Amino acid sequence: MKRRTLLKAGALAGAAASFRSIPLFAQNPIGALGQNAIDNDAILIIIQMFGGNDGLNTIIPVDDPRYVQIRPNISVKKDNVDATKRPVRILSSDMYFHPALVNGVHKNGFLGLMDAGRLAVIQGTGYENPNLSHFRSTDIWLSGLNTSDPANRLNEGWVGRMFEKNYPEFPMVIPEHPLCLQLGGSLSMLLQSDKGDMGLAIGDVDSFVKDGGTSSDSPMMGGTSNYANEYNYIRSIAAKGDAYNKVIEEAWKKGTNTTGIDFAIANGAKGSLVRQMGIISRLISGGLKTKVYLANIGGFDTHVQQQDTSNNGQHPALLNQLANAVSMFMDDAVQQGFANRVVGLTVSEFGRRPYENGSNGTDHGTTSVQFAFGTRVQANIFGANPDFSDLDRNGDLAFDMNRNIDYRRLYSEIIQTWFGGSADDSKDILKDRVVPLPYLQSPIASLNDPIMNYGNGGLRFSNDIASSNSGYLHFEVKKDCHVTIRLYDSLGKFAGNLFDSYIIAGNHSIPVDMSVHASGMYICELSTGNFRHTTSIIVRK
Amino acid sequence: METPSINRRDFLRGNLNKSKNERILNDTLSPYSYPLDRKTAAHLLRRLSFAPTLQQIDSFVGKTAQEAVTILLGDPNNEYQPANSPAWINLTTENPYGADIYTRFQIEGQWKSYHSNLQTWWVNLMIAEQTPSVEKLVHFWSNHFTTEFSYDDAYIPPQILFRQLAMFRKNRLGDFKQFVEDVTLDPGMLVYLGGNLNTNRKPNENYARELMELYTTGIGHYTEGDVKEAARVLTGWRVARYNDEPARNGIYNAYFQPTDHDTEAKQFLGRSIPARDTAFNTEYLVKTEEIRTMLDILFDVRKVAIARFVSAKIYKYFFYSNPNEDVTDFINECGDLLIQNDFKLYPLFYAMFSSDHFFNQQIIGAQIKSPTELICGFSKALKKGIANIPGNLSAMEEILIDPPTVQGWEAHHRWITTKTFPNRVKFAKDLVNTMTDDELIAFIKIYPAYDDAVELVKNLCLHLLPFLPNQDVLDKFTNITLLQNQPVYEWSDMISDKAPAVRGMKALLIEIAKNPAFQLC
Repeated sequence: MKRRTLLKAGALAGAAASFRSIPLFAQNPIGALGQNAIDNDAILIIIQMFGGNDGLNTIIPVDDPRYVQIRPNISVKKDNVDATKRPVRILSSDMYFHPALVNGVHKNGFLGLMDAGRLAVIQGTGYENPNLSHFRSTDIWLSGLNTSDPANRLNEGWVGRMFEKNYPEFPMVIPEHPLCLQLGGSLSMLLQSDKGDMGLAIGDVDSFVKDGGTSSDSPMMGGTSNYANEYNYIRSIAAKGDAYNKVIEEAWKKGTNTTGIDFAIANGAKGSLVRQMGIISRLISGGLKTKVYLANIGGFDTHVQQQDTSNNGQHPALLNQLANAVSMFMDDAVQQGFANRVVGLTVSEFGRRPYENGSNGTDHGTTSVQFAFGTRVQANIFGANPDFSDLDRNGDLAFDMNRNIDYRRLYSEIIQTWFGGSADDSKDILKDRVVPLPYLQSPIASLNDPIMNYGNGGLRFSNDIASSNSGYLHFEVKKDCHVTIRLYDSLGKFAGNLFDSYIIAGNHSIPVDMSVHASGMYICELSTGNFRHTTSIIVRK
Repeated sequence: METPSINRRDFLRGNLNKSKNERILNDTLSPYSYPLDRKTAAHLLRRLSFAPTLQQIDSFVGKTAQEAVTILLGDPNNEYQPANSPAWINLTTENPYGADIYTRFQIEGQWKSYHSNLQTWWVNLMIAEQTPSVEKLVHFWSNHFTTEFSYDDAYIPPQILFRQLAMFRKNRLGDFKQFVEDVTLDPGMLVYLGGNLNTNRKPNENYARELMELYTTGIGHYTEGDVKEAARVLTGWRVARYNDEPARNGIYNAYFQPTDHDTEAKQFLGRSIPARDTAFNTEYLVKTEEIRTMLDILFDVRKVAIARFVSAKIYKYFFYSNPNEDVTDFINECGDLLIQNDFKLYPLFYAMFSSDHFFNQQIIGAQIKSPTELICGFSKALKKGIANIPGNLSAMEEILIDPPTVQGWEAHHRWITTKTFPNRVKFAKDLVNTMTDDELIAFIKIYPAYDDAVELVKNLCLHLLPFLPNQDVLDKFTNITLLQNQPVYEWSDMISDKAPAVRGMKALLIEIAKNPAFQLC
């Protein structure tokens, strides 16, 4: 019973400290951590799409004739008379954006982001033995623990565990700035840990600031009764709210949004997610050192009236808001100069059944598409296209380890590449060794990184003049070190070692022969210690 | 440090010799056999009702738990439907979803105001209620059999939600199986979980799944195939929502549409429900032969799971919302009792609330108040009405009959966040500040020995908090907050002068509301 021990320790700390207690430690979440921990100023934004987003009507296999067959009423039509309502091809792939992600969206939405190298599309994400309950599946996603045993209670989120590891003294010693900030709603399980909440839920920044200062100076309570435990919990929330009130107010006042990018923060007229992303952007620009933000958008449980043949309906409206929120945020981040420190990731508990139901909607399904956004993503489409010939007994897309992407691979990539953790850190947090899906480049600001950063990553590929399928990988190391370069295919599967050796400081160009590999996108991942840089290679034959 | 006082029972059990750390919650359903004192009477009233007035506590002192619970539960066969209803409950409208946008917004706007009005009406019922305690149980069931007023981009007409509350009131202590049947065909539920769209051609699994996952067995006691089959059984039910829809059983009621019903045989939980001839495809026969049979199968094959799941739900709502493994035996005992009584709820509630377990020191004061409990309790205690009930509930994130998800409110720590906590304190502050001088003086005078400041603070804390704070806090409340550093013998003069007593009393009530214990009951 760790919780009990904690509160017991808390009672002692409270007794030792004076009345108003919670000792604040002059430590900020960014930059003050030990070796295998977070050592950069990288920020993660998670957008949770509650209800189960319909992946098949988000990134659409419109050229697959079965798509229209099984969705006669709700499919997006390639031959729609209105050109703005036709799906939009993604790069040179055979998958398409729902037009609501592109048209009528700030700077062409997801298409604009993909063209600018700021969007990764990760198809077929899910887990084995999919659970079709919203709650259980949300818990599986947020906990980062894939368990098919329903008796297994999931109480903590992977983000909560990540910080729990980095802040052993929490919550008796709390960081100067909130580690995690959730916009709206009750605090998500994502941010819970064994040691309590690692985050803060705020609705409206103005009222959070205005209504602060409500904690009394009531003393900690001794004993281990449930009453004492709950009393001390409430007391700590009150104190936390007070302490963070100040730093958030400061960031809010100092921060801004780029003139001309209107998130409608005052009235929410562009939707709640747009508003939340605007608030996040302003807080980051104001210097808030929070590491993880959680934004929410609900309504994806589209059993009914999902959309009609002219793309009117609830789902297109939600996609439209999603694309608008992300596109506006990225534009603001780039213009304000903090884009290189931020990566965003969507999560949703499941996709929806390929066959439409009788209410112009879709029922709970399995694998679906997720998005990562930021200037440091590998702008490409990952994962295999949905295969309608491989359905499980519910008629849902079957999860195939060889073709689909284990959702935890999105997280291990964040833990390792983005926050600079080791494979062991990732294993501690996810309770399993999970190979990262290389969809990110590390943030540019890792001070101890021996790899010289060119501003767009530390690794570049240049083609040979003679052949498009061979060339050189270029990088520069600041000091002698061991460097490994691995190759992964677009499913994130290991495709071979390109380099593995100790090298001296200086410039290096490693020859690469890709002629043995099949056509498609590949990711090269250079790693030294906990630092990683990636670049992509397209093989055309 | 606060030490909950050791009562005679603890002494008799030898608990004094045990360290508190080791004491686990191993009390059973055996009846609590000691007369209620002020603390235990208040505990019972806080949990099974919406916080007590001082008179209510006094009237329960000396009674046995069983006597008190009998009074609080009232007659299980009496529906206790309130005498007055909101004015709009029978008004009808056209279908806003076929209408032009102006008409649609107008109708939806009207519904939103009805929904606000419904919350106000209901919370005022809770505040006014003495005995028996009906609305607390309705509140519980409303969070078990969840319905969301605003779902997707549509709304459920509040006229239907009003009727749903009446259905909860009727079934609150009755036969749980009958209750589930009523919920299955409840118009609000049919609309909310897609039952009214569930047809033989395209079954909608939404309700079929939640029926088991959230309302009866919990997850893990059925297959995806069972969900599909249950959905087929439930095909064909429609709701008369608008005046352009057939109202075969009257407006805002459900009716059966035979052509939408799947008449083929179904296989549910390993048993079969036979196919039906179209001649027998009628509302009465489908309800009695298919839906009831399906529920009979469910309650037979999964009786243990259901009994335990429901007992655990009751436990979490009324006893403690974050129990550990210590209470598994108790929950199982409750489940057994429910099965023995063929799923009649009254014997279960009666036994649970008069049990040793309920009066255990680990239960008292351990529950975080829901916003409804907080609002009703403080309003009732102060005898002061609340101006903006829906606004306050929303600020604390409990919009009644409109939970965030079909799972309902998760309660426990989810109630207290850095967002909601300030709003909880603000509510209390605002309510205190709206009291007139005369109201405050009258409030002070309900306490025995109110002209003794020390006694007054003690009695007030006993009334508003689950346990008495420690002496340091009490001293601070008395000397700094209430007396504003005046000597204690000045208090009676301060009351005569009114203004200083009112000032001190307001400050004290706000200080109590800021104490973490105020959030607990």
